[in-house]
Amino acid sequence: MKSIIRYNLKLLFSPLKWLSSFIFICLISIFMYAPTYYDFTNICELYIPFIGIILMTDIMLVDKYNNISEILYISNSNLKKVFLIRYFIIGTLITVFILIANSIFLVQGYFEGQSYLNEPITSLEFLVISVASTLFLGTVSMTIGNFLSNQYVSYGFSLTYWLYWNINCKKQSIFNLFPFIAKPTDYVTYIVIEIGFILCLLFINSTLVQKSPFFIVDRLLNLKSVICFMRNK
Amino acid sequence: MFILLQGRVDNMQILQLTLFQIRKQITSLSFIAITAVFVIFAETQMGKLFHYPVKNNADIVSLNERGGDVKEYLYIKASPEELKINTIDYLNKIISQNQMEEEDANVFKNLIYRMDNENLSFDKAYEIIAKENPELLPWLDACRNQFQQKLGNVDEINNNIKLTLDEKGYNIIFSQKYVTYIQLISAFLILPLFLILFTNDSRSNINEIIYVQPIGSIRYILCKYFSCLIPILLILYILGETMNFYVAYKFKTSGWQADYSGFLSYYITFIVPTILFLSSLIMFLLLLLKKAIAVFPLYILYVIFNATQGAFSGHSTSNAIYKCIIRLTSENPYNNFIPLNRALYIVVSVFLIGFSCMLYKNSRKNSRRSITL
Repeated sequence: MKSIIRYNLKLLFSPLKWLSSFIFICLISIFMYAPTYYDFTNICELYIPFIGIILMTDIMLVDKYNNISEILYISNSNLKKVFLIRYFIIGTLITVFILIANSIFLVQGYFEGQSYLNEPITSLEFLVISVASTLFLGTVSMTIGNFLSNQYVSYGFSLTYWLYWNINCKKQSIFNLFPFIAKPTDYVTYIVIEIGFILCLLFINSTLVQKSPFFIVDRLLNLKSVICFMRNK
Repeated sequence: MFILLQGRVDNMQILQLTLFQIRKQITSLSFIAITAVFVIFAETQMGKLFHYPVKNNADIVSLNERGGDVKEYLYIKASPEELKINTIDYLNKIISQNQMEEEDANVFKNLIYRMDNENLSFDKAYEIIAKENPELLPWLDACRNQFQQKLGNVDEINNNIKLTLDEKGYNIIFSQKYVTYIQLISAFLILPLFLILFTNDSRSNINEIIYVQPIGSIRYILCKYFSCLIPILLILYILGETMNFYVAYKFKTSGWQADYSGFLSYYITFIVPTILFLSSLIMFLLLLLKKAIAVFPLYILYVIFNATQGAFSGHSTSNAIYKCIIRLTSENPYNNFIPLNRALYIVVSVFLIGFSCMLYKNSRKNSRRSITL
């Protein structure tokens, strides 16, 4: 088990991606205007999901880019397990990044003589809100990437999704990426629904990774031939 | 003579390649999807123009649901009598639902009694409360905010629109809104398109094939760049002009005397320089960093800074020379700001395109010479 985790960690390790995500969260924590911890939570919920897109989209596409997806398909490896391990690694990394962002903000506040002890929001709430939004957008992006085997299309879709909810962030909905911004007094239910969606997408992805690399194309071709057959009939 | 002929053949080749790339671009799934998103965003952000001028109650309901600045047309001042009746009803409702402390409820019961029997107006009642129980004023403030305006009928709303537009038509307001929203949206949406464009050769493993083709690297990269830029600009122009024309048509057919003003000047001044600059920035970053994923956070951070500066500085977003997106909905920029800003970004775009060409040429000579991490 340890060796599988270590191997996948090596495979997922991308200094450029990790470094750019790290710089991104540092810049958010340092330069964004957040006079209170409550504002900081809003900012993190709004902007940290981008690192979800960066880190999560291609966790299963790396096999394709390394030309090993066919080999993995015919090997004895449990692809579902591999997928969940990779998701766990990236999920942990995202959590660590969010905790770093939180620490930078608190340290900065300490040096500026600010105390966030009496804020209506706790560090745990901040963590849950930020992690849920980040994982949700990252998982949506990854699902589209896995379906279409193209990370750029998933970037486009997830950016559009973020943009739509950024414009309509005050509209509370089960699909809203920012439930805390929409209604700070009643967001828990929506976070739970968001986590439910994440689990649902994880199930779809774990099923998809066990299929052949040509699974989607085969299904589409079958559908096309059925349509042609129906027309000729 | 031979050199001239050779030059003409080269130009033909470039034109053919650009046209081929444009054809490839506009038939690609990603381009169609992005165009669809542009149309959807234009509809969701500016769909209210389909209900101008107001013809029936369905239009009023739709406009009311959309909210935003459209409310300034929808609401008219309520009469003092309506304000008084609605206030009494509201206070009675609050008292009957026990949402007010008993002591306060008694004060308001007494006030309602006096308003009914002594025929006191809302303002008079407000004065009495301000004098006797100033701590209860927030209740009356809430009533005033809620009931001093009411939803107008078709004629009243159209009259409001006429007064605001001052017979200038809706075209100017539409153009201002369109260029503002489209600059913001396109800043995000062009990223995947250009990333796909410039990584396509390496993904398809055709770098070597292109290298041995009789076309210069600078010409090749420019062909690719403009083959993506031209369709985007065309789509945005067609979309904007269609909506602008539709607005003018609706006002004309409704019998309104409104001047038609074109959309082209707004398009050339605002949308073209912004997209030119942002696309050249993406191209430059991608050719410099060589990795699409490295461009993503840098570019997104820059766009966020442009779009929501308030998140960085704390005060409301304003137009500034260091921001390529000019907003026309929030405030009017000072006179020389627009030409200065646009000229700056066009010049920077030209430099970025030039640097990108140099980078691409160098990378073709030596593919290993790149920033890799």
